[in-house]
Amino acid sequence: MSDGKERKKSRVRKFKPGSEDPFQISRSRVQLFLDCKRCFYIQNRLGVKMPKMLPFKLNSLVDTKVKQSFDFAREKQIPHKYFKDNDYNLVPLKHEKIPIWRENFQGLKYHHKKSNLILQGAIDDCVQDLKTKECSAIDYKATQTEDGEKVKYLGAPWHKSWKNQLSIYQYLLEKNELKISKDAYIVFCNAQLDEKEWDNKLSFDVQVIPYEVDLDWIDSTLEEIKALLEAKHIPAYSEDDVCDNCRNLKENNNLINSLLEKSLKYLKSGEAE
Amino acid sequence: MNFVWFDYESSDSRVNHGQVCEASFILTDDRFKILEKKELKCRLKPNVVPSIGAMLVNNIPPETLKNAPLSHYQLVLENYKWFEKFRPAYFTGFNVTSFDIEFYRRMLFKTLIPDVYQTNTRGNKIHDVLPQVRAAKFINRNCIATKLNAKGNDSFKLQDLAEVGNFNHGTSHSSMVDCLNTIEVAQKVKQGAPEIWEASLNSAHRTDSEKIINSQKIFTAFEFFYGRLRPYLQKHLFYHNLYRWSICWDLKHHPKDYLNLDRGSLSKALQNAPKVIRTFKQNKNNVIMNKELGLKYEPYDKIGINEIMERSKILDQNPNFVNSISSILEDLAREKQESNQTELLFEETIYTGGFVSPKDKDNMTKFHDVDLKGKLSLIEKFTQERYSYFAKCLLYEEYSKEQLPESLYNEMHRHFAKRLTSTDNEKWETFASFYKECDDHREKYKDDESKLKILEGYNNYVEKMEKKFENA
Repeated sequence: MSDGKERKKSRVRKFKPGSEDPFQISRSRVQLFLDCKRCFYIQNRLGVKMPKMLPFKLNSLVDTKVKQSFDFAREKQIPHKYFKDNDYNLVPLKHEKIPIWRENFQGLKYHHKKSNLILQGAIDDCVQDLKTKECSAIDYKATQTEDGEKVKYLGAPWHKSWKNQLSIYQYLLEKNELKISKDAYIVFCNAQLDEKEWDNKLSFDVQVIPYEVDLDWIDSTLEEIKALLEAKHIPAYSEDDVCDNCRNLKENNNLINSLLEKSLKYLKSGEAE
Repeated sequence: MNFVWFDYESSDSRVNHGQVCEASFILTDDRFKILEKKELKCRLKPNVVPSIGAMLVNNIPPETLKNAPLSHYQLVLENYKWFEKFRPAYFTGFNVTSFDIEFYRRMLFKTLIPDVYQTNTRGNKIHDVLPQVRAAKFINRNCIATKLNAKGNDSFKLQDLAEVGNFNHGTSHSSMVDCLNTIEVAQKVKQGAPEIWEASLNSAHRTDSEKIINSQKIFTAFEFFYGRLRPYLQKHLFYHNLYRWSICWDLKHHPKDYLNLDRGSLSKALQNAPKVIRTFKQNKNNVIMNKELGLKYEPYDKIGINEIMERSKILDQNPNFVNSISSILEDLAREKQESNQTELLFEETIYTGGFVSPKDKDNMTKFHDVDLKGKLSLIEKFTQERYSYFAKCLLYEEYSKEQLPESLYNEMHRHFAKRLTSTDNEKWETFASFYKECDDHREKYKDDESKLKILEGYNNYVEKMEKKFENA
């Protein structure tokens, strides 16, 4: 039903096979490639937009507040209290490009010549060891979980994407000519549930979680991404427990096909099941 | 996912009746970086006679068995909590699918912790380094150094791998050293045979293995027997009706030679060696490799891919033949079950007694939370007798004679006295079997002062224990 407004047609950048122009790929799309080849192909080669996620406004607000508090420490070139409390003598990096590197759709960029892809990722922040000049990317994660203590081990399957994210950020920092540390960090803000009457405030338990990044997989993955973008055939559906989109599409298609078959049968025989 | 490496040193290798004396756990990430470590030691239960053979292997002195900081019950609770803390993870170690996992499940079962399948449910998976290192060595001999045993085969004993690999973590058969050595072996597998490592992670759960089997149908599996690993290029036919194992056709055999056999002849042929049917156990973390790997080895390389596919096609085109095999194997399994009608002891019913009911589960949870009076009142509330029995065992093991009602103490004391003073060949260590084994070892180590001293220590320990059960 029309609501009287002209809707903008949803358009997604898509890869043109054989094109000599570099194709930009964000770190979240790299993760999509790792998670589901089919969905990656549909989005990046065929230009079909994936279903949108609901905006995480509260999480984003926490990110913004944490960013602000890091900016105070950046100004004074002192370790932020979260880092100080965890005995990390690292200060927020002072660099003219920090505002760009932190901005969505801008961020850090690197042209990977072999694949002709531009890898892009926006960091939440970056800290530096003033003695060694080594830099570490930071990503803030705001959530609520009763397993907050366990998060520091980054052992759950879904933590793999956090690790990949930090690795890509470190890779990008290095490619942007910064000396990098072997570790990057997650600032994990876990909202606390208590029995007290709600006073319009949320309090957070904050952990700084180090992760020793792994950069070895990134170059080869970019090459694999390029090969898939150049491929002529759409990859098979992922397993049901791997990709919700694929499961949903597969089930819808099966249902539609069976309805079509029944309709054809009815048209031919005049008998309904 | 992270890895929880674990190893137990036990009083006996018999999983239903032995007890763990020492446990070590290491949490690592997927690149083997150690994140946490834990070592637990406990006292020997008052109703367990140690097997001197096992104690000489793990070198736990009798003093530790008497004076360790934890009781066995406390160790089990600590162990359970530690594993829970790091869920989901791969629970891994050396030969864990055959020993440590079975031991741990029984520890939980007999301690009235209902979550017996903790290590393979709620995202957890079971991973075993032993089958992986064998497969890795098979496809890449340079992957890890091995000793040759007396028969000229590679030795995959962890102790031997650690020795030739100069792992330097300390003396083998201490649980922490064995965990560290296992991590070293795993690193070598991952480096030297990454495809095996990857495959091992992909088959660390029954459902994962079945997914691969169902999609590939023809795959390469390994079996280890007579001291050697052998590759099999096989086709999955069906899952066994009773045991749920994947039943496969070894494609070195042509199905046409069997298609026209009557049921009796086919049954005989299936039981003859070399076996045409291979059984693949999906929950033992056996690696599943693609068919191309099997085609590199004899005799499959000579048969060739076209002929292999032809044999597979014949099996697909003859569903009645496959159904006959299924029916024959089911009959054979039922016959075997019926011929083995010996009554099981409660300790042996972990898999045959069914899952725990919600009511018993609830009572088990309460059992650990309440005081002695509460525990006593719960004994009769279990719907299954075996759980009432385990509750009584736990009280007998954890509380003194003075703390327990006389009737309960006497009942359990007499029960264990009857077991331990038996002179028959039992499924557990008795006083008689201990002394015999001890004498045999004295003879064997007659020139080794230190071993004789350990034997003497254990002998004194068991003599004192025996006195408590005299006149029970």
